[in-house]
Amino acid sequence: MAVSLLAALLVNNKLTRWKALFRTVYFAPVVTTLVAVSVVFKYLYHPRFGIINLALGALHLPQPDWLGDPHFAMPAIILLAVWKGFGYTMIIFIAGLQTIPEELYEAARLDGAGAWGQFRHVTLPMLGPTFLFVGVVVAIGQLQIFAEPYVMTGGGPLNKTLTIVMMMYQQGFKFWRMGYAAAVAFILFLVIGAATLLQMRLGEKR
Amino acid sequence: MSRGWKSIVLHAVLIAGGLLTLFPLLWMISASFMSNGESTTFPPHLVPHAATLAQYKALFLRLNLGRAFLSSAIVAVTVTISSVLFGSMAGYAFAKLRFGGRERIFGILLIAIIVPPQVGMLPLFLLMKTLHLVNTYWGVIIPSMVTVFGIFLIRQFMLSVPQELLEAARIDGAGEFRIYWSVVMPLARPILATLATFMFMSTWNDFMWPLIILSNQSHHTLPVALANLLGEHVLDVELMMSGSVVTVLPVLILFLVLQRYYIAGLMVGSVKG
Repeated sequence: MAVSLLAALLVNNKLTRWKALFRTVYFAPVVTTLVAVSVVFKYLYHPRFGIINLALGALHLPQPDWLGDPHFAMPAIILLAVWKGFGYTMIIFIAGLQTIPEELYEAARLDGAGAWGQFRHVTLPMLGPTFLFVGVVVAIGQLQIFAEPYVMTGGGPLNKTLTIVMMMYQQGFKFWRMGYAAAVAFILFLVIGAATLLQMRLGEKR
Repeated sequence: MSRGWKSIVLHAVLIAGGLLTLFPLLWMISASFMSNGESTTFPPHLVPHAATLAQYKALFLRLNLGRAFLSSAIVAVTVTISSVLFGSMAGYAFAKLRFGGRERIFGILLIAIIVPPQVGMLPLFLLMKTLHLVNTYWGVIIPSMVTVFGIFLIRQFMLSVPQELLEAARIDGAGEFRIYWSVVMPLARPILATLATFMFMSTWNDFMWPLIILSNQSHHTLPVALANLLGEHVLDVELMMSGSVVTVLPVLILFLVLQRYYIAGLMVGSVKG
């Protein structure tokens, strides 16, 4: 969320030229095929030949075995999720930013607020509802993660990347334990159903 | 800091961020033109020494990826056409026609949005098995033929179509279907384009359902075929990259061409509820 807000602020800045171009570039990962980019990232994360570790090595930083180390596998998947998703959140933030009337900024400037003050006291409060909305949407989306662990880690190492949907798939369609899988699905339904209701409430308030 | 400097710093950050964002995709394309083993040499090559189409040849001639490409195209096109057709019909009816229980039925449909798609997959699979649709294109297509999202999107648009227009057509003697087809549909073109773009991309990119329902290789869509390929060719980095390019490129191009419709759809999605 922080990344996408930053991106939205930069892209939406008055001084920025080629706004549409940057928006397209930052949004491009959102439309890519999840499986395909998971494959690409699997190689980028390769402990010896992956570009990420080669870059870390060049900077004399530690080079973790991203997908093989239980401590790093989930962060690696999260990094991919952020890369893939931040463009979408950015678009919503931009829409939110554009609803903030220019007069508010002017008033803040007259009151002597600097750039940070304007951001802190005008932008953030005005984006409040957007934050809530984005938070819930992102949470719902991340609860449904499946393709990334399926392609990159198979749920391992030590089940550290076994997401709830992954678990449902394994139990139901690999081990054919339909009852167990149905129970997992039901829990997922309760959690996401609650989150969606919350989101709809928020939508009504606006 | 002067305005000029600010602008330079801002653009430097934006361009750096843009490069970082595009890097995985650029590397994918670049590595797909390398010969076997070139992408894992040390020091690393970012650009192929001698660009080659060998990987693409292997994919299409030896590994039959063309078949998966065709499967993906068949499924995505059918889903797109049917969801636009049925979604527009239902959306029109919910917005403009009067019938008993209209609001209640629509409310029930909206409740269905709460259910995450993965939850429905178990019963859906059992249903498809009873219908003998496992391992067929129809098994992939039918569950997405019409979506609540599509109906909702179209209905919101239809609400803004003036009632007088429909009345005028009715007085001129047009039947209900004629009004829908010749009066309303042309007006709705932008929103139909939005829905079509959306459906095509999400069907093309969909992975989990096709993976479950299509166990036979001959029907695999591209994402499923790609995941399978990874199992057998995990060491052939360049080959996998060209497979990824084949999978990603169509949607990426489509997005570049139709992005204003796509983003419009996202906006509607974000204010629903």
